[in-house]
Amino acid sequence: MLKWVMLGILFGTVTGITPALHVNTLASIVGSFLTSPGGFSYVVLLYSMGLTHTFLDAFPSTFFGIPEEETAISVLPAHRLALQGRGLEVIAISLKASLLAAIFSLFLAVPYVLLARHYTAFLGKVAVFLLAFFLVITEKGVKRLYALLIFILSGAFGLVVDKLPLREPYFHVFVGLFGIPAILFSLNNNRKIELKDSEIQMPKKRFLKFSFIGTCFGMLASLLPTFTSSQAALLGSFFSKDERTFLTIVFSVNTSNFIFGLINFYATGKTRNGILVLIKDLYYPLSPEELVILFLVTIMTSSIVNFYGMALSEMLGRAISKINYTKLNLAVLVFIWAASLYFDGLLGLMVLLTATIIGVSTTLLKIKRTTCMGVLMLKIMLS
Amino acid sequence: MIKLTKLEIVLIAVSIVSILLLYLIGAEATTPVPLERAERGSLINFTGVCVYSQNDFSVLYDGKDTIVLYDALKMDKSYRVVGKLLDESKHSVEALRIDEVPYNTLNLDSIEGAFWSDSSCYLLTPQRIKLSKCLNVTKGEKVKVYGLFYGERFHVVDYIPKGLLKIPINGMPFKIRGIVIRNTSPITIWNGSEEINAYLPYKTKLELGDEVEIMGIARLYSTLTLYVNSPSDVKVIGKAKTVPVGKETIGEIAHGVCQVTKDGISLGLNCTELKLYGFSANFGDIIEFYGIRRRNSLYCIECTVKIPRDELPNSICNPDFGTPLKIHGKVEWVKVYKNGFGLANVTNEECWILVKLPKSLGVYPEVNETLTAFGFYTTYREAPAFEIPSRDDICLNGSC
Repeated sequence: MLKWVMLGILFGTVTGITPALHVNTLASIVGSFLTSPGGFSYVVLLYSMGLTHTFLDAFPSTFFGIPEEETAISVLPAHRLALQGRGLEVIAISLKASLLAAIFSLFLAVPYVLLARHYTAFLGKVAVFLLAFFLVITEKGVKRLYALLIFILSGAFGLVVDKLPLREPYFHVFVGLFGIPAILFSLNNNRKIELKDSEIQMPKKRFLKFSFIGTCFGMLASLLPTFTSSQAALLGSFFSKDERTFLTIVFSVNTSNFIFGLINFYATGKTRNGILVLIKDLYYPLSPEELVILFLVTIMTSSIVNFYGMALSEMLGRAISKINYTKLNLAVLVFIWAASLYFDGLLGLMVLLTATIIGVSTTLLKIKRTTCMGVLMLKIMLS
Repeated sequence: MIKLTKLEIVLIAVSIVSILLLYLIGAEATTPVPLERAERGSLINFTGVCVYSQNDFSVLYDGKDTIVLYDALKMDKSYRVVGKLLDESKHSVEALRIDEVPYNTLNLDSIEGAFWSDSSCYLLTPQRIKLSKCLNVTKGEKVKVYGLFYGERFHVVDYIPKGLLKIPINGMPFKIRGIVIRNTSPITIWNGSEEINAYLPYKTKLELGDEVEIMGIARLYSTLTLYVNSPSDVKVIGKAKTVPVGKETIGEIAHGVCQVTKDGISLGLNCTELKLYGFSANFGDIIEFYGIRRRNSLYCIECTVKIPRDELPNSICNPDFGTPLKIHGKVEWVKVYKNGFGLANVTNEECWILVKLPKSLGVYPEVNETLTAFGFYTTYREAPAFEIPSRDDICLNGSC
């Protein structure tokens, strides 16, 4: 069992620090290797891999400027701190907030199971309508109209992409909507990234409080379809006062969403991310004893990742700081285009381009980038 | 107020054009392909029967291939799905369009048999074929079902009821209607023309004379035999007709008040040639009975002794040939021959009668003993005499 946990941590580390690798894409890649049912060992491998990914995906968000959909809204605050030389502090916040979220999630497992059993598809649809309304209404003045326009554009885009024969539609869509715009806007920045210490400049009590708030939003995110970590973080941003509290919420949401997703899967069989879809295909249902084992895996993985995560990030950060930032970002862009081409050829590239145009428009219109989640939400609203 | 710059307008316009372009590609360039030629991400067109559905998970089967959908579909309905193949090995599909279609668009199997239900629902051909659902037809009814075999079940998409079987077929359900003429296991039912045996479920009882409808699996032995698997397949719908004794036919209840002319395992009666079973009475008793008529006998349903033979009058002065009677008097003399046959002269002071005492009777009264006997008047060397059928029909000095 330990062997599978360690292997999961290893894979999760590789995917976590790799830019533009979404957890669903990760599941899809791993799924192609797992051809025969491997029993509970595969579940342990996949779960520890996905969990590790949630601890470390702050690294590309901070240093590469390529956010994944879950951390899309966190790009600006993370970058702001990175530009001040506090990039390692962002990673420290991610590691510690994720660890706390993991602990809080395990304590909240029982009330969550009771809550999850009362969830219905109708409630989910109502929540999506409310979220859409919330996304538009929280903008100011004419930006509400722009938000509505982007929401509808993204939604129509999502509906169209659904009908295209693509192997990895979500890769093109999310990297295009959220990742490439960020990197395009950072191409002019050729300052070298400075790396200072990783000490979290925030009182411990405050850190605990915001991590707990983030865990609660993560709980909500795992219940409602399309209610992503970014949206949960958006709600959380009303509670936060600065970049650090905001990031604490974002990273806690990300990890707790993943853990609550597992609990939801155990209680109702619903899958909220690609890793769980893969687990469901390989091994379902989970017994209470197996859930307890996965809880132990949660504690083990969280502790181990916290043990080496900082040192690894510091090492990689220092390596990156020596490279020209523009060239680095260009290299990442080339990597994304190549991946897009590899997955789905020219059609994939075209979808990536369209998503990028919508994402860039969103940034230029200065509205919340999470409005682009219309790509999933409109589909649910119309279903 | 934030105004849109030229770049923003251009970008929005380009994104609209791009979406339209993708839409056109999606609508025209990507015609759905058959499942066997599809790759991951391909648009497929699949028509099949929903053979599994739970929560938001369904499986469609077309007789050759299955696809997995993360949608809630209705079991045993046929659907056409246009969707994207997510996994080539598991055939999981993200449905873009799901339409319920008439079943005749599929190449379905059809089987004819009889519908049967116990713990599950089956079609008997007479092989047992487990059905995916119970049909809205009478148990045992002949039915033609259309559907597909998947796993261990036949998934019924449609069916045509064809009524109950009119003649019994070995191993197939058969329904009978008749009168219970024997209620020990197996019970025997008279359906108006033949006797049918039936093995009933545990603790299911029927009364003699009940008019019943029974559904069971037929076995064609020398007698048609039904095996009934559920108490609900046994329905009492009435009672057999009651008629005066002598006018009954098989399956009717005979009623009469008659005198017992012969006792033993069965009773002989002076009103019918048929034996009456299932009741015990003494020779000479007058009984009232309701008995079910079987092929060659009657069987008691409700019988009582109306006048015990002890209450019969002394017939010593009124001999009547052919009727069971009682005599009572004092033994005047007894004569026993060498061969063991004896004669006793019994008198009540006014009349006398010779009582035959065959060796088999084993009774030799003494002179002056009081004798009470039940039997028939007969003759001995052309003189009137009294014949006693058995040892139980004679009492000496009040001791029987």
